[in-house]
Amino acid sequence: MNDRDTLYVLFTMDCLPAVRKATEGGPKTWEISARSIESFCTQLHAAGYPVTLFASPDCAEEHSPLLEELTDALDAELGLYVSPKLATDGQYKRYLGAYGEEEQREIVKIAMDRFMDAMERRPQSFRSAEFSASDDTFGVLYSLGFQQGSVSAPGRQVAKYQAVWVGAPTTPHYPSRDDRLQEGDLPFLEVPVTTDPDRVVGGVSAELCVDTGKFETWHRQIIERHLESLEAQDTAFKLLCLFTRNGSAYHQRSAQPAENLARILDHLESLRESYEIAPVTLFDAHQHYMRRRDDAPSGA
Amino acid sequence: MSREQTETMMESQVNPEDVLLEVKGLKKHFPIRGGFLRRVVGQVKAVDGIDFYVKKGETLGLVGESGCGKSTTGRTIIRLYDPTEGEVIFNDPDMGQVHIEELDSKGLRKVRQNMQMIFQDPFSSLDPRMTVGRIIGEPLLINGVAKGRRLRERVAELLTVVGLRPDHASRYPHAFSGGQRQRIGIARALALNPKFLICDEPVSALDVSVQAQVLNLLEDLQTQFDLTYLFIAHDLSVVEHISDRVAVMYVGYLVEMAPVERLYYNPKMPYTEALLASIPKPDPRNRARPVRLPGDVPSPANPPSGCYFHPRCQYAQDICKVERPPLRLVGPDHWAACHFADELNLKGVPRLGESAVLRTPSAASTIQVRGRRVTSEQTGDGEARTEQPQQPPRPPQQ
Repeated sequence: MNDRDTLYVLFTMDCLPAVRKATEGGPKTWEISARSIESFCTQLHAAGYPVTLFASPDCAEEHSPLLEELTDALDAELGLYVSPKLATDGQYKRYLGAYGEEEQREIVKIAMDRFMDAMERRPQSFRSAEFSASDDTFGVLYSLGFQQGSVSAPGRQVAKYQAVWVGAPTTPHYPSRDDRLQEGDLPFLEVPVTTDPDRVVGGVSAELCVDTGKFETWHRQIIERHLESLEAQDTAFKLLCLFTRNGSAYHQRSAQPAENLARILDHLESLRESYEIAPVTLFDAHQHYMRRRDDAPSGA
Repeated sequence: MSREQTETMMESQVNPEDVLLEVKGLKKHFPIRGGFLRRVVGQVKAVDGIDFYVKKGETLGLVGESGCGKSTTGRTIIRLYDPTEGEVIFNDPDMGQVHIEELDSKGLRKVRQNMQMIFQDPFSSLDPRMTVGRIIGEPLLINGVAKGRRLRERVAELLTVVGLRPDHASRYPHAFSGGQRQRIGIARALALNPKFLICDEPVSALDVSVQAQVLNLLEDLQTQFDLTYLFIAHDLSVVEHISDRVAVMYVGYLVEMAPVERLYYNPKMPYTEALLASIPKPDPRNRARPVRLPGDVPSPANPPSGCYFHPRCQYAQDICKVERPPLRLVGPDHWAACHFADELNLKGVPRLGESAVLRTPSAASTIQVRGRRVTSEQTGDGEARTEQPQQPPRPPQQ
């Protein structure tokens, strides 16, 4: 039992504004958003997994009582999701990685202030829309007080979104201060979403998105491929990072996203034969990561 | 049950002054229409002549499978449906004894100040276009009880009472979780200081993790405001938790009614026994936890002869097929509609002391497990052994 490796499992949800303002796959209505978020969190909580919610400022403003309850009662973590156009009311129209360091700082600061006004708490975890980032992004986030993020999608190459992650690390790491694709010493834990970087369609790698595809042909294969890769590299800190969005019908049990989620949870149960499954939020993941670093002889 | 029997029930069991609501021979039939001219070709007898009473300050649980008529009963009592037949007598604190079935719209509006309903689905029962403040304040406005600053103060007070923040009044329902929305529904129901609340499956649409919060709130409010509840539910665990007495419905009829302990530990009607046996093991991933018994529920449009439960009853005898048993007194405040209620030794839920025990392999320590949920016992060698349910004695042959 004790010699099984720990496999950390992180479920995340991007909470986008309702579709009247969004162009990024947001929910059709705030009502759908609320029910999707609550159902995703309650189903996962019942299975023992806390959720990390990345809330856009609009979502934090619209759903603050709901989000408070989910963090208080269901141990969800609340991070910040930033799409510059939505967060700044159109003042900045491109994706985060398109802007220079100071503009990025300004954009994230505006989003963070709106978030804090709504939630009366400071976000410590971060994700940008479309996984857009530049070499300045991690440094900007750290300077604004963020401790961890899930910003990268290894293998993704969508230049128009400034989301280029070909060759990026596929496991949790401290990034370099000036090269987003390199590991470094910035004490900001970057947790890439789990992908199969070798399976790329239209510039996007096969990403472990709960509401994409069907379990057998999508999620199972990505998970297996990722675990093979972790074993091959003898990775010490093994983690699966899944994501989804608040437009998905988790409140309709027969809908595909809800079915995918149920199948993924069953599959995670079956992985307990090989791994010690450890459900974590992004914050928790960082705590475990630091502990392991401290315990490692080389400090690496 | 006849009128005379109801009066006997009342007289023998309760002081009339303690009764808040009395239901006598209540029927609600819905017409079935068919053919080109949409003529009435039959009746769905959703509620078909039921009698019960609710004492002041108590919670009467009303349970049964889906479609048995329990929600229709609640809605007919408060006149969301007009009854087909029967009486609903409410001891209104302001108006005195009122026959609900005879009231016009003005009278109904007045009586509903003291009689309110909490609905099952908080996601659909709140108007998404209205702010929470308007939703809660609407009954106060409609009844001319408060407006302006006084209205806002009352809404703030009600929000606080149900555990929400006064500043939530400006928000819309989509800002809230299901549990929070049910609290809003409760706040609205409390707005006019009612004495009687019909709670129609108030937690069944909620996740298991928040059901307890809402149940605890309802219990606290009952104490705080001296409320009386008719608590409609299909989840017997929930009903056991909150009720003082429980009434069991089957295809439009009451088949058993007793104080909660008596009904759960010593049922007298085979349908109740079957319901109790079907209480599922807790599974947090299964939100609905529906009651499922062997066999199909008969159609209320075409029920079987005799006792409606006889096609599914393992104890059924010839008489059960031809004669419907009346609801009769079978013990202190214990009513059952079964020809063999006195002879059968039915299995209720085990008391805590009767719980199965899980023994660890070392046998040094034991873990008490709530008996009702446990059907197997782990033996010292680690092998699981299924307990065989004790066969109740067969009723005497006719």
